[in-house]
Amino acid sequence: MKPSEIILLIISGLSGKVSSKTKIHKLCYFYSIITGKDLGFRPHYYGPYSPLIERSLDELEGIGLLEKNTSRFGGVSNGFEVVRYDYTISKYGSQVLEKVVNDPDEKSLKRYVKAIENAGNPDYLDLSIAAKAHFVLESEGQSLTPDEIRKKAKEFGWNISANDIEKAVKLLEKLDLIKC
Amino acid sequence: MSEIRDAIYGFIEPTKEDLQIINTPLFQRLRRIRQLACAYLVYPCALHTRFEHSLGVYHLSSIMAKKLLDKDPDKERIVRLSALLHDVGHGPFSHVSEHILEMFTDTTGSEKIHENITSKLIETNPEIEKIIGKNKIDQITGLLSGSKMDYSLMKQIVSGPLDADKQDYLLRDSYFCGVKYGVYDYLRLINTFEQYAEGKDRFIGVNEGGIHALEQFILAKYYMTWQVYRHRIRLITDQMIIRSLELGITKDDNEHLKKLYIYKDTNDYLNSYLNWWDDKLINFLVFETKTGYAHNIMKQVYERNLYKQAFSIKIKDYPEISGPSRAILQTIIKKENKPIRSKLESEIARILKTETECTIVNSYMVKSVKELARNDDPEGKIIILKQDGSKKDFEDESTVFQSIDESLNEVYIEVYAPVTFLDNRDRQNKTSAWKGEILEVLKNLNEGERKDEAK
Repeated sequence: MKPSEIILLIISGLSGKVSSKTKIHKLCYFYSIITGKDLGFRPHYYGPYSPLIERSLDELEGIGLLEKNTSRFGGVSNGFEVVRYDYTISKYGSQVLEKVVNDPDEKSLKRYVKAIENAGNPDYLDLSIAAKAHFVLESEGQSLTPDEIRKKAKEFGWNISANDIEKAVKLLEKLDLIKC
Repeated sequence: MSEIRDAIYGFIEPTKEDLQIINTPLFQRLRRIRQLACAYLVYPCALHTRFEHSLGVYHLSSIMAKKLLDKDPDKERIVRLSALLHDVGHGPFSHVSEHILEMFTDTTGSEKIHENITSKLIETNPEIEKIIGKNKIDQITGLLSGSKMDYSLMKQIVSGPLDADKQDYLLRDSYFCGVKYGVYDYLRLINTFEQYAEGKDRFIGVNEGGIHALEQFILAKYYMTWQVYRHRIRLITDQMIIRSLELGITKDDNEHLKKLYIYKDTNDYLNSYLNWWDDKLINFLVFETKTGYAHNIMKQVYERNLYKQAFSIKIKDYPEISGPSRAILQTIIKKENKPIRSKLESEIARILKTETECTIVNSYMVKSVKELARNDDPEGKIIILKQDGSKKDFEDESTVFQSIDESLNEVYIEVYAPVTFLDNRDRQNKTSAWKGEILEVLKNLNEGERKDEAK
């Protein structure tokens, strides 16, 4: 399945709308981790980031399969969003989804979206922190306590509070990505 | 220290050792590869080459390296040499060759043949090895391919949102095309560059004083995209050259073209590759080759007897085109869509009464200026370093870009073909008559595909 179709299926599974571009990146990141599918993720100031997903999102918007609405918020960004882009599946996007039914990846994607829903459909901030925490764990390749994760994340330039780490760990556990 | 006169910076002063690299045949070959392929058919003065662009990137990267790399002469040299050599893998007509190479070579994932060729040419060149040594060559190819030091400051100088390559090509292309759209205050911009650390990695940020120069730089990219890089005639000439070379391989069975564009990981291939450049390929196809598609189309480019734009739409403006058709059209120029593209071109050729092989469907995406400011480069966003030590997105700090609401990407579908127009009225009459019929074909593109699948 193409990255653009993965994006469409994930958004479609979450009631056809995902608030924030960052959230789509993180949802694709966890999908790539769970399935081992290479979607081009690399470490970045904002956490794991994929130029391939970025380009696919732009193209989906460029041809009208996704509709994009912009919301602007005031305040200091400090690594998080001040401008938020909300993506909705358009009628053209729904037509494309009808075509990918029975694709071998479809089942794993549906299972994944279900797991996200069961985890309470976390917002972009929770997913971002969980992605950073997961990235730290992967990089270290060993078990770490929440405090150790927080300290290691700081080495990557990510300031995450102890409370947020706790939430991130719970989320990663629900997604079956770690065992506590 | 030698001095090289340059139209943009006045003097470029390579070190004695770097001058030895400049004097190698590998680097001198870049004098024969034009920076903007056949853009001189639109802008007659755009005859500048990859040679002077590479010198310009070398010059700017030297300034940036001195400012950002903590006075480490080894790192500065690696960055300078990487900048100098970054384009040695270009084939005839610069980026046009990349399309053909990718079309005829099996690649895995995000592998770029052009980048492979650049690395191999540097690694296997005995003169380069003699001048700079094997160890430095490994560092240079690692930096250029991104396989090593992926997120380091050195990499950011060579390839990143504020890299020396973009900075030079905007200024240089603007100057030689004779347009003023690419001009920005590059000295002020570089002067406001500062490094900032994120964990183990370091990045280039811009201090608050550089916001206006950065705004100019982003606007320059936007204007140059529309005025030069996406100029209608330039898109047509590039597509004609691509089609000429493609048909030369697939229909004419031209052995020389096959040898040039079907990549092989051998020294013989690399040696042969280095023997081709713009004018040599034009001469070969226009004068030495007497018949065939490649000859006919390249001759038309040579004589500026160009195809015309018969159809052009912004896909989002046409609700009648179904979702699946849109998804196909977005990637119609990719090699996996070749059968659908050929079928589409055949149906459109019937409408235009042109030959299928000479009817070209093209698609491309253009980002709005707001999108360029946000995420033009896959390497990431541009960060403004505030006096109080905090970091902010450029978009949130720039008064100009904050005030722009629109943030859109647009995909265009166009058709180029050897049609004729007597005058503007004739053009309008013909293109509006074709438009309805071509839209009908695009609308039903997916239906056709489904029928094919059913068969």
